[in-house]
Amino acid sequence: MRKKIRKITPEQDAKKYGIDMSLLETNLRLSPEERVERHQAAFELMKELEKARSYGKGKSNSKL
Amino acid sequence: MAKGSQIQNFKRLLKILTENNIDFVIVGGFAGVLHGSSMVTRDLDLCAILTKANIERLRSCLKDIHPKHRMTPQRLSFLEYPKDISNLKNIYLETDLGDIDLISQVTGVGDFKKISQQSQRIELFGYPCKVMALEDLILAKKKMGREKDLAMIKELKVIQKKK
Repeated sequence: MRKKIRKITPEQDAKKYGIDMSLLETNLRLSPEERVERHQAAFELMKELEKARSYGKGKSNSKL
Repeated sequence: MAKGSQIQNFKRLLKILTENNIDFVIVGGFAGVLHGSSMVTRDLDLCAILTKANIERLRSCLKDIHPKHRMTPQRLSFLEYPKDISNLKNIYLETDLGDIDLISQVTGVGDFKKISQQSQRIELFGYPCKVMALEDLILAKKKMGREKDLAMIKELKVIQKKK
């Protein structure tokens, strides 16, 4: 018996991978400039989190 | 390390490049962002023709943002190195406005001429810009094949379908 191969849509594939579809939908409603602004804000947050993480590492290694 | 807010840095960089008539196409992760990707990218990838004359022009217009070769341990100044600029294919810089990668061609897609012809024209913060075409970006990411590229491809394919 032949197995029926179900074609997966790009949305299904992305969702399965773990892509936040609501975030993607929101981005697609924005203008390119708004997308840049959003990205740059996310980038700054990422840098702050990296800084905080390295600060936390340093603190845990310090002697009391 | 980049100084100032990211958005101010980006706007300032656009101003520097466009006011000095540097012909470039935004490629890579940032092109993905412009198309709608939710991923965060650390650097700005630009495709440009890296002739001797263009590199001299880049040195001139970028000099105030202290460009350095970020792949050299000593962070050599782009303004002085390399001495021989006749055959550069890619330049990886860190500047006061962030990391910028200047590449002469994109694997899987082609050279600047092809990328530019197929690019999408947009205006960003008052400056005319060219962004790599979505189809080309997907091809380029497929060729790179890293995990993060595969993730972006999935987003870009959704975006492509919605267009």
